[in-house]
Amino acid sequence: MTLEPNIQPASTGRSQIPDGVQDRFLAEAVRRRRAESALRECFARWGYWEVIPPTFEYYDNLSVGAGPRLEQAMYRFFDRQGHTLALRADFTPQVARIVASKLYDQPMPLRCFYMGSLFRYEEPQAGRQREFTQAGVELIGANTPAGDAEIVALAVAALEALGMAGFQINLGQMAFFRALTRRLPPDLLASVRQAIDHKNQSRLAAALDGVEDGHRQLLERLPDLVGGVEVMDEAQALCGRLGGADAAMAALERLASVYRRLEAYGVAERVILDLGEVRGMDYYTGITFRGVVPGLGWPLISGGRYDDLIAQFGRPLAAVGFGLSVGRALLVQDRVALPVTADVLVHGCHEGACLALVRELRQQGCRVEVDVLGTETASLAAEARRRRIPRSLRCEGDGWVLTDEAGQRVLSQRALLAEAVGWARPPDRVKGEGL
Amino acid sequence: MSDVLTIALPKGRLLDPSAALFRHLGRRCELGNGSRQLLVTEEGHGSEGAMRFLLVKPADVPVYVEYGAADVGIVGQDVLWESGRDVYEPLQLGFGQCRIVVAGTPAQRDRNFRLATGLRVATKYPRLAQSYFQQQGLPIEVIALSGSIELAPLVGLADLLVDLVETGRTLRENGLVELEQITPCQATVVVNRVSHRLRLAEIRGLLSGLEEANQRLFAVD
Repeated sequence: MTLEPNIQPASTGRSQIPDGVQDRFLAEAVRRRRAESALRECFARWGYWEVIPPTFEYYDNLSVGAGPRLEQAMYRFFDRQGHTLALRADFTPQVARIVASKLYDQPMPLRCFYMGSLFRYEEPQAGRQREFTQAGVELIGANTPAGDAEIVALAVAALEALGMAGFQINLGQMAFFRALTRRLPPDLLASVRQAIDHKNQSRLAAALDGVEDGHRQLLERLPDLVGGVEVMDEAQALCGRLGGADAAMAALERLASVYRRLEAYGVAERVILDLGEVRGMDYYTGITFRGVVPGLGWPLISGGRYDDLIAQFGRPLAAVGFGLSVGRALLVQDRVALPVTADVLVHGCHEGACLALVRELRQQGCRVEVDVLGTETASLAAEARRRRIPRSLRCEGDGWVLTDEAGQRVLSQRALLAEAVGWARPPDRVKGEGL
Repeated sequence: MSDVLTIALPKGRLLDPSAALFRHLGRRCELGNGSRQLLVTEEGHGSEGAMRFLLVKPADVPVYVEYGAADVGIVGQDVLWESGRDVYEPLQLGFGQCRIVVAGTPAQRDRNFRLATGLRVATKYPRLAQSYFQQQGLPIEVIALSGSIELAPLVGLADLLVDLVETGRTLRENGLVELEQITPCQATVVVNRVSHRLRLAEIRGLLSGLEEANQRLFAVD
């Protein structure tokens, strides 16, 4: 005899879904779609066009530029010919493939955005399931400080479009780190990078033991080179003492130039220079940045320049972009109560002009439910209350009987349509309103 | 943000030295000492901003800090590494020094583990044990226990154990020997990756204060 746990008495045994995926419905679904529309609108205003890549592709293409960690997290499977396929775990290689194989002769630069699900076999954590929604942009074919600055400024605009308050962008320069560590053997480079990434000073010192003095001093300072323009001054001073550090100097100059443009965009107060920002996709070659917001333990946005990735698909094209986790953004929003009901319940008898009126109301932008249960006219108002709809409506002779919280009134069609203008709630208002 | 800074401190042997650090900074860190309160908020602390202290199980410190429920925490590196949580680890402290070791009965000393199959390892640190033996190229079966690990090799539950030792006395008293040191470890300060960015000045101030307090109270030379 077995003891059946009886938590879900009505369960048919088909109610479970796998770890790491979620059903979204009612207000949660509305919030998500609003956030997505706000982002679409924002990206479009900056001149970006949507690309819609497939959900799965050949693994070999999707894994280009992915580090070992991301590779391990990919869902892989076989098609019937035995090819290895994978669910996409990152949009950027897809965009790179599309640009290199199809859009390479379009006038450059190309500006595109994407939005959709990514799939990673990782432990689900706040706001990020194994299937999660990412929105992002790529600016292709412009290796300029102006291009870098546009992407950072657009990241600020995207966070504003989501109604985020108090956020900050930490802007780093991978080219600087790469220039400084060019001569380190790969093992050592990995431990130096990890120590900087964890701001673990003692492990960093241990890893750099034996590295020549100038480079060691500069690398040991990296975790603390975070702040305003004064950070650049210190880095430049330290860098100036090194021999043959032209590439590192150039990388700093590039970052300074991007920062000046961000001042001109009026977003510099959102940006912290962070030379200890050495994390990110393995394909980053230039600026790199993360957006953080109070109340969330993880970054919301991460992006950077990747000038070598598209070349791996056959066309050498510079690119810079970012990805934003929509689910995490929703975690930070105030949960304003969001009614997911129609504006009015209409009796909808087929004799009178009921259904014609319904059409007019819908054209005016009202959300209208028509009663399909054959509810008696006398019970219509009660039915509307049960469905949490704020008002109900039925025809009577040439006029209309409207019942709402103020009581019952008889109105002419004209008066009714005039009143109905105030019923509709704006469907996709986002700014200033909790999502 | 003018919010209080939230600090997660571990119950157990690291609590007293951790609280001492904060008291050295003039903070009213009134946790432990027979009190059962799990959350203590300082009453206004001048211009510096008040702090709030959480008392949690050691293994939960990295969780609170990774999620940002606490901005800063103190925890043993053994626990931190086992947790695999993604946090900054900017300052190591001069207390809680231990070693994570592989131990077994003296008979294991001369064994050629490369020829062994079905090697069983008892531990409170399944992740660390698994990854250490993987690096050595030795496939093992991890037996995750929650205490009295020394018993496992004695009663034939496991061939070896991976555990934290401070003096090695418990091992000796149970007739076990240390075979290999995996890593030394100590108490460490952890910081949430977002808090560090958004409250940079505050956290820098706290870290340099803690570093100085650590020098004063726990300097090892």
